[in-house]
Amino acid sequence: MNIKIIFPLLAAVVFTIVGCATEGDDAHYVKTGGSDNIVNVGQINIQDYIQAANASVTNLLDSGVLDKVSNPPAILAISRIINNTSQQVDTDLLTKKIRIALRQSGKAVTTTTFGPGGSAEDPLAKGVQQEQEFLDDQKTTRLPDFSLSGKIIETIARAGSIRQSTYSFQLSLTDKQGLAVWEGEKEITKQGTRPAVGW
Amino acid sequence: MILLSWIRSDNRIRVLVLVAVLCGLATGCTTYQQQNKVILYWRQGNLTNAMVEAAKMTDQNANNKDAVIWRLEQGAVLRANGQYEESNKAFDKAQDKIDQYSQEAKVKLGHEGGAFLSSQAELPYEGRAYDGIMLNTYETLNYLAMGDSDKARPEIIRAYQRQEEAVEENKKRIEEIQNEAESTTNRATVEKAQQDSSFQAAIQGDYTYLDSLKPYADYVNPYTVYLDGLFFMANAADASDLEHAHKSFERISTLLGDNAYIEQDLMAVDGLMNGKSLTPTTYFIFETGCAPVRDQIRIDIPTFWPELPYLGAAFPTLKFQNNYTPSLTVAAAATNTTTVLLSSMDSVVGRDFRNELPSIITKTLISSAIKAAATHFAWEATRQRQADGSLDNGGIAGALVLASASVYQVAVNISDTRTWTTLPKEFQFCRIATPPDRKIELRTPDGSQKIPVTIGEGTINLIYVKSISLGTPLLVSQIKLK
Repeated sequence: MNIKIIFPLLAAVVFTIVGCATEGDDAHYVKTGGSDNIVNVGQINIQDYIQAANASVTNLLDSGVLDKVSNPPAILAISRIINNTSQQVDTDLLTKKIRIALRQSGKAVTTTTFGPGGSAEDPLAKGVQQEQEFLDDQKTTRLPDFSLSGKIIETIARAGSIRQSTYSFQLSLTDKQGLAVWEGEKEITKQGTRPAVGW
Repeated sequence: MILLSWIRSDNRIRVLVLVAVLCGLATGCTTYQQQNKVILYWRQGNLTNAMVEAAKMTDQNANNKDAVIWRLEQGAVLRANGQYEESNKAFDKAQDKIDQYSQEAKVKLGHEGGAFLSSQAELPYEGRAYDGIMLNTYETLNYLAMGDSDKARPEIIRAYQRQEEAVEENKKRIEEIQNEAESTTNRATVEKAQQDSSFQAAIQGDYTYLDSLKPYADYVNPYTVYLDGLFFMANAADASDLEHAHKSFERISTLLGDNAYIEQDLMAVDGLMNGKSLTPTTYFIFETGCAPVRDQIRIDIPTFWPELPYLGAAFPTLKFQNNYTPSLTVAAAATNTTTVLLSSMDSVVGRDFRNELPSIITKTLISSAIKAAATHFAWEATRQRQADGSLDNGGIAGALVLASASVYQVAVNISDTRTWTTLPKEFQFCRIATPPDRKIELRTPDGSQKIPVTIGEGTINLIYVKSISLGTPLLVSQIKLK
């Protein structure tokens, strides 16, 4: 067969095979929070939450505030974490990590039946608690010693093709008197450029 | 240039291949306005058919260059029909694509090269600045309508950010198009056209209407700024939110000039900052009419080729939609309050168009120069082969080349008329102290529509009224802001 016909045919077959290759062929596991995780300038990545949570827990435990409760471990209620970024984020990605670390430290436990505006993270547990109190005919629930509130703020800056975003994770621990007995802030800044020309 | 030397080389098959490729590129070149049946149903107030058509077009174009524009249309239609969750899903898909484009290289040589040979409408629709701003504004309202102010918050922040980004993006766009005009191999043709007095007169004459539009600062949509103020006032979580609301109301005050409603809003925020509570207030947003669509006009541009001294090129133009309800009156407890202009989308779209126009003109000139040169060299090559007798059936081949080139020129001579057509013409607003019986009546100026409304519970309420065209029924919905 004429080479002028065979060559284009072969090329077409090769291109078709390459085009049909599945996107997931190179899929592989990476360590969550590792240096090979994807970094996006305009987004909060999982490693940012990990960094912010670790820094906050270390800072909070070092402050000794949790050791001062009369009946340890301290009971923590999770209040509102305001999302002042331009993305829809689940703030549990931050708070859950903090809760787990504090629980593991043995210095604090989190209530799941006491939330902002009377809401409960675990409505069933709240129902059981109320039923128990009704049966016992007395209020046995211990009120939280502290509430944890905070805010995530995004600051965007640009210079030419360079784009920068800073995420500020601000947290406050408030006691029953309404005093912020601990406050922490972790800032994470990322920079990247957008290519000017491509295919 | 490679293409032109390829055509010029002595091979008749190449000429015929070019004819086939050009015909291929020309295939499917219909304008967006010709494809868009959503807007026809929309203007009639037929939301059911508009939704069906929008769904059909988004399915057909889910992964192609028009994916964003059809998702935007779909999101707006679903929102008007009160399907807020579905509307946000459509907007999210549009947003994902817009964000994806914004992460990629601004100038994509593969796409741009194809578009120069074909039409600018063949480039992916990446979303204009005001599209992004309105997308997030509508998402904010959809979340508020669903009672989810936490999810509304990032959307209104993103809408604000997009206004800031747009200014920066426009600076880059101007630089890029200047570089493109300077580096093109058809620079001489572009410069000739730019210096041609009749071409310049035509350009200036055809776009004078842009001078009469209301001047807003670049990429600022006063409606979004106002909603931002309203959101942060009603949903203030702390003092910084109140400060944010105050800034937005101040900003809107400079955009609108003296306005009694904005003064009352500023007083309300100041009161909150000083520990006072908000008094029961009902806000009215009146979304009326349809945004301008893009049409095309023909302007002749000069070329260097004697057989083709002028080439008709299609340029986009805005066509304003004037069949709209001019205002809305709110009757409450023997007092009538009429809505006033908050944001003219004619001006917002017009401003964006004006900023884009130099880029459109330059790209069209480059594209036309390339097409004219391609036609010239194809014609020249065929003529030479006819003359030296090397072309079998020379007469037929020559006629075929010229006929195909003409068909191709006509077919691809279309401008990019894609634009979000289901946006309104204007946003108007007013505010009243919520009447004790919470009963009001909405009235159109001609008295043809009178709709009684009972304001829902809440301290701060928003009544959202939409009129698509004059005579179509008012669409009324309510949002509890606080």
